[in-house]
Amino acid sequence: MKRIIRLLFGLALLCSLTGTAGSATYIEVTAPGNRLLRLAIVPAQPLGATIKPELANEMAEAQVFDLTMSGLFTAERRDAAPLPQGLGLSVIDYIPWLSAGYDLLIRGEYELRGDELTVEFRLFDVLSKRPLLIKRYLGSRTDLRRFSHSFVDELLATLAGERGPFSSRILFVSTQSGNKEIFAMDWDGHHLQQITKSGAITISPDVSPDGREIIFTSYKRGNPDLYKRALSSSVDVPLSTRPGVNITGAWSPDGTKIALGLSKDGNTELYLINRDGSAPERLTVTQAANLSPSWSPDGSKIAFVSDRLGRPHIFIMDANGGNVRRLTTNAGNNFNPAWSPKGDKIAYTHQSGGFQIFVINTDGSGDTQLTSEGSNERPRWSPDGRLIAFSSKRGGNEAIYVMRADGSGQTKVSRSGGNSTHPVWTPHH
Amino acid sequence: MRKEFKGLMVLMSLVALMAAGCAKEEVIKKDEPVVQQQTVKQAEPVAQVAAPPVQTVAPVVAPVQEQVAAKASEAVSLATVYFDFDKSDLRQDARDALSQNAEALLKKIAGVNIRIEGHADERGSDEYNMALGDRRAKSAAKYLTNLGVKADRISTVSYGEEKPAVQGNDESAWSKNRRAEFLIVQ
Amino acid sequence: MHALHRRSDTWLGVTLLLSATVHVAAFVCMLWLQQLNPALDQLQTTYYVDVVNLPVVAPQAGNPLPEANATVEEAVATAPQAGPQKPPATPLPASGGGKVPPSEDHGFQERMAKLTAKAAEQRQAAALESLRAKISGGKTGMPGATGSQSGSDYTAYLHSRLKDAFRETISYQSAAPFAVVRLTIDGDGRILLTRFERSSGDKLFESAVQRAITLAEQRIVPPPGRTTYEGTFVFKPQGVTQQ
Repeated sequence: MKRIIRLLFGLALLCSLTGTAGSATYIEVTAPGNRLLRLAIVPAQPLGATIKPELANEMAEAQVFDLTMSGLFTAERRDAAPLPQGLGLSVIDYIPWLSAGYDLLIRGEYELRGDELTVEFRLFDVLSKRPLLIKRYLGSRTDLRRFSHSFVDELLATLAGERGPFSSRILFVSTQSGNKEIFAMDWDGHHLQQITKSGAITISPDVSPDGREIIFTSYKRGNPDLYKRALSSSVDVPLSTRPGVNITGAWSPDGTKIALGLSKDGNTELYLINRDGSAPERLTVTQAANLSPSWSPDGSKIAFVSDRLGRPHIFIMDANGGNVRRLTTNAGNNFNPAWSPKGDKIAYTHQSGGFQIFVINTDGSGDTQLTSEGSNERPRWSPDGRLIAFSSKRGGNEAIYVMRADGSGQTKVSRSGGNSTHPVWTPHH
Repeated sequence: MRKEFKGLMVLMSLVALMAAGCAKEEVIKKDEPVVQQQTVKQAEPVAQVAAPPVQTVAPVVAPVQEQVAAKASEAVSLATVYFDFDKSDLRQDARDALSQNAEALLKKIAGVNIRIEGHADERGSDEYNMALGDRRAKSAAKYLTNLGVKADRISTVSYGEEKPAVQGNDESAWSKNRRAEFLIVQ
Repeated sequence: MHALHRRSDTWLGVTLLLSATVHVAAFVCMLWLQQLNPALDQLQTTYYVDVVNLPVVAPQAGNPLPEANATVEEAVATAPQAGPQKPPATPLPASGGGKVPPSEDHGFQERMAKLTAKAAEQRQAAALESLRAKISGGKTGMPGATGSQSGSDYTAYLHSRLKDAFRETISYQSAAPFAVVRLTIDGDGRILLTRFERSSGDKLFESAVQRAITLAEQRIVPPPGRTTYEGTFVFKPQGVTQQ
């Protein structure tokens, strides 16, 4: 009996030891929560004789929106007395900002001479009382939003280690001019520009990795063919005009190949073609439809849609067509996979009744619904993976929306008329 | 009685100890088996395709016959055929319509070429519907060639959901939009 | 007689056994409960040393206990001086601001030292006495300490300062960020060196840690004996588990 008791005690002691063993040899400093950095933006002050407060306000508002959508900051526009000796020579009094609870401060100055605009922005750390980032921009008056976005992108690189997406533009399909044509806009909807004027149905734009060329499918010759065009030009080069459909072209990350769906041999199958449209190489062999390829960021894999098992589902295969595996296992229909720039997730459209946007890990785990209001389709990641653009119909016309990668902050950004769909971000330059 | 009680206590304490000893292991084990269920079905099981679509539509027969009747009076008109949701295989009414079209193509208008336009309703992605319209057009074309129409007289094009015959967001509109149309091109 | 003896013997045995098993069962139950509650374990991995009740690693070498008490008093005493500002803004160093004269920093430390010494003398005896009464065993100071470190209670003090500051700055963008930081503090209580030894690579988190250290630096007192102090701290969000 004694022996049993001793054994019990021994075991108990062992238990308690293993329970507490491995405690830190370092001192752990922990804190609860995850706060947003508070950032105050003072509208830029004029440097020369021309005083245009509306310019300063527009720049500040653009930056407040960018910073808010980044999800890392609470950004507020705050007015403050201009620095008497300009940004370069004045000493910043940090104490009022510190006592008001701000972590960071952006101040700027601008000079407008005719149409020529010079802007300087400075980011200050209120706590350590030093400038973190200083950027000077030279251009014309119409560049002022571009300058503002660019500074926020740099700010994110400085503070969070990765450039922001706000200098990117979004290409999309709009019916503003009647039929579906491709348009471009700033990520926040400004500077709308019509790219194609083919007068025929034009859909599915994709941008080359260098940001210079786009591919799209157009009916301008009667058949859904794939065309290429330099963004600086207005000439469409036919890339794939094979019989049947030539749809859902997607540039490979290295820009040398294009994956697309062709039905030249019967049903729609995925092929690779060179960037000049030559040398088609077949990737899928099924009796079903295979389309909407999306490359993994390293170019080794392709996610795509196939209804080979009945309903359309998202599949993943190697870029040479091998190792096909099914990704989605839900009961609905699944379209438009978009591989995240970090490579770990795939956003897609799920349809059971209405359309909603989901995101799933590439191993099939963590399937998460991001949207629930209205009907939402065609997710596309911003180049840094922080944001997702998509098309949404929430009463009225379909429009381009942007949300953070976790589904928060869903905001309508397109201002074009008609229906706007098929968003795609231009890459970082 | 006492012995039993004694035994019970020892048993209880042992059970408690074992429970304590095992508790941690259990917690760890729970996390693991998640990984294993990911075995993926490969492309083989074509048999699964037989699963019925969400909506099967009956009342389409009537409009088809009306149209056929209406168009038959004009010598060069061909009947539109309709499809079930997310399907490109031919229903009986579609086969009947195609047979009439084939007859016309072989006799009344034996000299013309036709283009078959495949269409889909608005559900599904734009591009998926293009592939679906493509399948529908080709399905109709194949049936015609089986009935003796020469393949080189037929071309196909898919418009997906881009050119609906009827505007609307309900089944009555959708069922009229899932179709293949026949156009005389020469 | 003989029979009676025997009988009482078995009674004793049974009660002893009963008592033992019940105790063991209770003990095991408690152990089990503890194991079922790993979150509790997580929260308690920090060494928060109660400065009132625990002495230094090498008690004979210093007088850390009252000093720590003096720190608290000092912090309270300086707070009203700075006016009704928010706590993070309170003890601003002089650089750039212009409001606080540079000498303030020095005077602050001198007064601190004086107060420290005075309080130390007054309370050392009493504190050590009460400690002796409380802790009969030889285990005092930081768990795992060997008694040769420079004031482990200063580590505890720093930990508490860093933790307070970290609460105000914590911000991150990845799932489970961490940063291992080695701090070198000179005899005047200034941070000579902040070295990130390891990090999960979340720059936003690293900057939050850096800001916490900057914030804490404004409030810390010099190490005991005004010697250089070195310590390694692991910063991580509360409740986030690492693999």
